[in-house]
Amino acid sequence: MSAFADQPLPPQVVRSPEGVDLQFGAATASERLVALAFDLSIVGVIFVVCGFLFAFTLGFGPVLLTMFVLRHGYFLWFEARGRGTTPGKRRYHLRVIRADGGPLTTEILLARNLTREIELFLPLTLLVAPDVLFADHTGVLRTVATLWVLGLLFFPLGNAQRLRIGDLLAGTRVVLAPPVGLARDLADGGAPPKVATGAAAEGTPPPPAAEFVFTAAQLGIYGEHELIVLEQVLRKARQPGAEETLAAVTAAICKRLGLDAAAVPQNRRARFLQAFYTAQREHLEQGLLLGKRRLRKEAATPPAKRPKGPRGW
Amino acid sequence: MSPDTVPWSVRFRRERQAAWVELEELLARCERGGPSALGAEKVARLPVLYRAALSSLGVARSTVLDDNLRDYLEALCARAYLVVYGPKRRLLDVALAFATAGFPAAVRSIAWYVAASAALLLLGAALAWAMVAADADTFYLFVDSGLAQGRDPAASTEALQKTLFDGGEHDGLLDFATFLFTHNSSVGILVYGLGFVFGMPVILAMLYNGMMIGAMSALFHERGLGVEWWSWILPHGVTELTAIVLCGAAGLAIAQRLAFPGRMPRLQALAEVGRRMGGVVAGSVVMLMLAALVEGVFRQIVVHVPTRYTLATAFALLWTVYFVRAGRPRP
Repeated sequence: MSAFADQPLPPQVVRSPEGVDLQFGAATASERLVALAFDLSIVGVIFVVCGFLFAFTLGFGPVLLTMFVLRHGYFLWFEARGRGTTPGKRRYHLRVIRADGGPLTTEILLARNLTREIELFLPLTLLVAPDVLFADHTGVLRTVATLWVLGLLFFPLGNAQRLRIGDLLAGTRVVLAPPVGLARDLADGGAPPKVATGAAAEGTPPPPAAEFVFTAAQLGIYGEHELIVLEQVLRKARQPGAEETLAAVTAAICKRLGLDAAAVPQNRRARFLQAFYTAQREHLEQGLLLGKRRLRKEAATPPAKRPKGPRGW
Repeated sequence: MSPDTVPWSVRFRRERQAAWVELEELLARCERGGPSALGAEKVARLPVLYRAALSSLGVARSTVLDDNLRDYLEALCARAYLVVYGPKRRLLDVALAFATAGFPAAVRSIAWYVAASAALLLLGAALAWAMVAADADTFYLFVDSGLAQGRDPAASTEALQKTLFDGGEHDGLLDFATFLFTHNSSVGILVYGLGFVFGMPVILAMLYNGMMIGAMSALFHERGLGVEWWSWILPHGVTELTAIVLCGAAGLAIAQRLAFPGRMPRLQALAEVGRRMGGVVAGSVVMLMLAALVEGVFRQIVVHVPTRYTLATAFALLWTVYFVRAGRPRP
């Protein structure tokens, strides 16, 4: 999510019982914070409404009880019912999973949610009404105690995975699992890219445009990284401002392949790139099936693990 | 290279896409309404489709170069994994199994920590008792005025006796019980969490709780009100102090594993003990609820000393049998 400017965290890998390593993006501190704020506002609204209702009808006891139940029950209830999500977490595509890949049990959810008392409510009490905690204490003692309690609040910022104490005690991780739509297969069918839709075109596609044919030598130049960059370019081919990118990419490819860029008319550029993409992917995948991998072109740049992003052309 | 060949991944996708889309629909329905929203037939389909998607992911990772397709399969498998291996048991079943077996078993697994926690409480009580017995003014060190509510060395013996039998007006007893419950539970949960800071606060909290009891006991014993004092404390104290001792034990167990994780990696050791202790604290919270009802309602209404002792004995027996026997496999 680009809306949050945190550094990306290393992904959380979970081995499923089938032996497949599933990758989850670790949630950043700010993502967790907004989800928490969302949940806490819901809790706050419920508490204010119930509090007023009960205070005037049932008395003081039910108000206290409501507060206690909301404070400890809200997260527990939703995480148990919603498979590790609360309304706030769901809204920001966050989820609680077990670090070792097993199922979440009630005890795990208890362990991770009961620690909220020292991680959140204690520091918040301190900030809002310090006299509740330190009525009889002043001076150095109070300062030290305050710093100590605030240390608990900022604990997640002190470790690389942004784990809070509850995550450590329960062995859980909060991961980012946004849904990914299945876009159209760019190599399936010769039509230039349309707006991506969930369902791909079925049936037999028309054969790819035969007007652009590439030799094996030409297809041997680029690698997987460039293919993925080209995929991203093509998926954005219909967006405003894509014309310049298409022109630049066409020129770069033609130069490398030894073709004349001027031979590709402006309105055929998308088609040309599409044909090149299809042929290139076919070529590289054929290689993969035979165990030959080509990560990137012959340039001086060292290969990266999983290259992404528009650089490298 | 002939121009009409399609990449092999296109064929791969055409063959399998229907299953992915079907899985996606099932997941969406399942995430909204739970497995029961699917019906028996579709639920049986879920693991089949999940494994098919996992196999597709394996193939796609090694031989498919369509980045969107790979991302899609990664996300789809992750979602399906969470649904297929999500928690399945009903909350009520979990609670029942926990009450009849899980809780006492978890407590037995930390028996030594319970002993240590109880010893700290008793040590605090003994220290404070000895000090107050020697010098009544030290009472104020252990019990702050808000808690004492006039029950201090300055009060007359008659006034002290009155506090043990006069519950005040009987209105709002449940409110009082609720206050006691929420307050004590928060303390218990706090003590558990404080285990994470290497347990020093847990040790101090247990000692301090003991000191308050010790100081008060010394005061009442000195005035010859020992029997009445314990009849006032024990009916709920048996349950309440046991629960607080259990929370302290949970905190100590966490602190011990944090400092000395043994052969496991520290994170793993913490998670293992933390999960068990979460259950212990939840069980203690239920005990505190019971204790608050006794303290807030029963004690205010019943002033008959033998009845009070009978209830205290009954609770002591109940908890002893429960924690020693319940949930053990029968021989």
